[in-house]
Amino acid sequence: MDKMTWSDLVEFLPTLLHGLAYSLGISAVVIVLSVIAGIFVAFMRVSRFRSVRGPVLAYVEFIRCTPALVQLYYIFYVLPIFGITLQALVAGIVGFTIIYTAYLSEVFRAAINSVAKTQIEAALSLGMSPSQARRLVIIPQAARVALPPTVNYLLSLIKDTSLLSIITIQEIMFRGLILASQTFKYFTILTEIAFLYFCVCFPLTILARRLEAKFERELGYGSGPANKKKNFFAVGPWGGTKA
Amino acid sequence: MSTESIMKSGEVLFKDVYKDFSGVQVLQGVNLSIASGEVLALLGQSGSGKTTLLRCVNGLEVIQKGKIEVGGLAIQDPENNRGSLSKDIAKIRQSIGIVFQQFNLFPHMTVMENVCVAQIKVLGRGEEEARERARSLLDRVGLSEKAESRPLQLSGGQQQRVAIARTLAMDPRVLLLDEVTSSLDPQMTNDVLRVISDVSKDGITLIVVTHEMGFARHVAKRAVFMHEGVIAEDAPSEQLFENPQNENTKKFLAAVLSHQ
Ligand SMILES: Nc1ncnc2c1ncn2[C@@H]1O[C@H](COP(=O)(O)OP(=O)(O)OP(=O)(O)O)[C@@H](O)[C@H]1O
Ligand SMILES: [Mg+2]
Repeated sequence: MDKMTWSDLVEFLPTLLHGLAYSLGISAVVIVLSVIAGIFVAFMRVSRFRSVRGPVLAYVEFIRCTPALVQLYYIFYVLPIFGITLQALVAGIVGFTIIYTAYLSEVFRAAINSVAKTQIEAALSLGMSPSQARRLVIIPQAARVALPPTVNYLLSLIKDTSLLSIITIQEIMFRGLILASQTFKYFTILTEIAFLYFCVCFPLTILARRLEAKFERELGYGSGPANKKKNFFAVGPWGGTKA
Repeated sequence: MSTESIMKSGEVLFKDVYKDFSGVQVLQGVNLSIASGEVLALLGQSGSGKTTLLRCVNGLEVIQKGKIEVGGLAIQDPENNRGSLSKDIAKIRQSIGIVFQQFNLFPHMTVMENVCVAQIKVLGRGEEEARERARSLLDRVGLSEKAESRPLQLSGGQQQRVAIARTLAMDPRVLLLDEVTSSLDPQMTNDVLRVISDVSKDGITLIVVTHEMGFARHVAKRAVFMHEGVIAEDAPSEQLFENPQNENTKKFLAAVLSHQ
């Protein structure tokens, strides 16, 4: 095992940070595209028309039930066989957008469904058109419900971008592995990579938790545990509070 | 957009109205005519169809047969209009207020925003005008100091009074109240009933579904008793409560009054 030294850590840092910036840049682009597309897909999932719902459901389930790694390989190595060749960066962004659109559309669909039907009735009863009811009543509430889980998906996206190393994108993992293969300092480099990921991701988990608490207080319902059955262990099976 | 109501009056007319929920008949030929400005108490056992009847008036439920008119406008006319609901339903709903048992305030908005949003977005009133109107209505229901609170920070009775203010802000011709005090404790119930009693003097047509018999009698000159989807008895409230004719009305009143 290589010995971890400050001078190594400092020496590798610029390269790794450069890679991290890449990871975060790709994540940012993908999350923006996926949120936009995800909203559309979510509304298609709740469409009255089966011909709209059906294909969209098939897409979502297909993505959810196959590994991201396989999907990325497919886009980068298999599609060219059929004459579709994408540059690595484009393939990465397209691939992850397809994947995260599917994930997020499920989040948004659940959020839309969490807005009570009675809210829509109240809006329509005041003379709002269906599109006004959507814009002024459903979406603002659904957005509050959806935001915390969306932050959690951003978190997993940032980590998932490490998969892009396998299609030669120069994100943090790719650069780290090259450095490691040149210097054989795997211990130092991989520890440093893990630490950098943690520094980015941990604050996001806190943010997600705070948002969840805030919105549940505001709406009286939400995506978090406060809305579900009280914790079995905290309450105890017979309703008594645990000592 | 204009703030002019498209209704000539607040007259409400049910002509032989039938409604079923996937085969289960709920309204079975309702005939009822309510004059503009009249205050009507709608009574009946649980499941007799009171809520359904109210929801048909503003098109939240669609009827299969018969006709419903408000202020001379056909709201629902399935035989002559195959889409059933009037094309102008959104415009018509502006003039038909409804208050629900569960308040249904918008939780993401403040009290002030709840009362203003439809005034601004639906009636096209200016921001300042809407706020001015909201302030005077919140004052009327005794909640002026809660304007910047969120609905969930209020008690049930306070939320219900906000809901009434939100509806009144639209200057409705007809106001439908569906057991608006059923989920409130007695003190809050009184606060809400006081507001309704006050509103009943405004000349708005009021259809009040309630289990508060004393209040029904006090606020409404006329009462109808609904039984199994039809109007079983229709009389001045004094008479309906003192001297009911229909057997089911008698049973209902006996049961309800023995509980109060
Ligand atoms: N959305 C629905 N789907 C199916 N059945 C319904 C629906 N809404 C109401 N019903 C049925 O219609 C009947 C009348 O219900 P409604 O709510 O109008 O009664 P109600 O007189 O308001 O009763 P309550 O006093 O309990 O509020 C009931 O048998 C009810 O089960
Ligand atoms: Mg009811």
